[in-house]
Amino acid sequence: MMHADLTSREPRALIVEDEALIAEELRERLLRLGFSIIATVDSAEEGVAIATRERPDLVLMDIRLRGEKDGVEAAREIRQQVDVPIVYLTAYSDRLTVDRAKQTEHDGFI
Amino acid sequence: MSSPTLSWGSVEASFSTRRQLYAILVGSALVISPFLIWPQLTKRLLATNFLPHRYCFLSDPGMVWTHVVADTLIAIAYFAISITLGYMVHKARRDIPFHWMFLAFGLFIVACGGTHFMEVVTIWIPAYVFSAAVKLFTAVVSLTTAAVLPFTVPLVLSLVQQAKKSEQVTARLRASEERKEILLREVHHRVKNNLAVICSLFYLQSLHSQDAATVQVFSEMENRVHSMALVHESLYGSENLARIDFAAYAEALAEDIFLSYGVPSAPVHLKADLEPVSMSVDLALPCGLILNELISNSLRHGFPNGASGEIKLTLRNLPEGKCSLCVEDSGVGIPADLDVNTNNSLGLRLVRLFTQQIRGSFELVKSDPGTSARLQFTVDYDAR
Repeated sequence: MMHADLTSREPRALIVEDEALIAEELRERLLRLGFSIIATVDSAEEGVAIATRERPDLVLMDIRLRGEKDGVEAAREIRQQVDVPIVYLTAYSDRLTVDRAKQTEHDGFI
Repeated sequence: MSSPTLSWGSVEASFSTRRQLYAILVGSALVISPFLIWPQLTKRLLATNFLPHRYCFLSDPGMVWTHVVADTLIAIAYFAISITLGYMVHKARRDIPFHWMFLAFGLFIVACGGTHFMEVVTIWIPAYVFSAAVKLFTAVVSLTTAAVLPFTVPLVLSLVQQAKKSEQVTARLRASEERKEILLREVHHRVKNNLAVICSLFYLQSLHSQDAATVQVFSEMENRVHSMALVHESLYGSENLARIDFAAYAEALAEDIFLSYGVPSAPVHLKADLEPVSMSVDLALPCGLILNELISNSLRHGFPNGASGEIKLTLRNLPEGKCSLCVEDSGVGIPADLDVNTNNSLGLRLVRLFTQQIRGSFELVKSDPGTSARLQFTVDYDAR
């Protein structure tokens, strides 16, 4: 059951970030940019579940997350099922992670 | 205590070379003296009053040539092997244990090659006495090698065990090195994360203030902490965990500061001309904080009322391990009465303090147009 208001034109965003305060800052910044926030979650599993069900207009994805899977794996799984822009929340990262992230056709780094 | 040991060592060394010389002399004497005592020996040794070997093969060409070709090839192979062994011992005689053993093998193989060579010769020339002498020599050398070889077995085995043990130690060291690196990366990641949380706190707190000046204070504090977080972030992403590429860092930092001031929607452009400079964390942190103040100052005061312009960032390697970092803007320029050394704004105070900390020099001059801030310092200052 979709609970989003279909008449609403607001872009909808999902935040996947395990640091609560950073997630809260992102939420506030996105709200000010005119986004509505579907959810902020701290694990890859929840991120994948919500992204594939809700098909947000934007996913902000941290690379290190709570649980087994990391953000790159979560992004790959989301990409396999739905076409959603995903932006990683890191400026630099170790080379291996960046290479892996590039392979998953991300839409950008913040 | 050490000098007697030393002199004993040199005595031993000279004794060993002298012993080698004696051995060669005695050996040569033993070989030559029979010829001197018995002048007929040479003649006897090279006697050919027998039937050439080919008559045994009834001069059958197949038999003769099979023997000749096979013996020649064997002789060539044996000589080649001993040359290689000899070369190896010559090149690595200090590192090869029991190099005399290799030489004995070499001599033994040469002798074997010699007997095969004589087999070829005697097909046509019946120098059987000389051939017998070569065989006798081969027998003595082979027997000696065979007799000595078993005594080296325990030593060789212990050497193999030592090599295995040192390999295990090396592997263990490497593993612990890798563990340490992972741990260090983790620490930098945690530090960066904590600083990022502080940035978020500043931002969230600023949302609760209606006062523009207070919001600006929080935003400035957020940028300062962010400039530190970025050092740790670029550290755990870099291959070398002790140093960062300051050029990449400076560009990322400048872009972030521009974003925090609402640029690029404002008409101020960033131009970066940065040479690669590798820095330790101790240097990168204060430099990053200085850079943050300089860029922020330019953005805050250089372009009032939405004026357009450019901020140019330059990083240069200078001679003698020095480095210069410049922030030049094309804005309105600093007030004529501003003195860098006494001005009491927090931004300039921070620049002064950090410049002192990195033993650098700083100047802020009015240029035409705008302001240019120049920082100069030694990159390898961390020998504190």
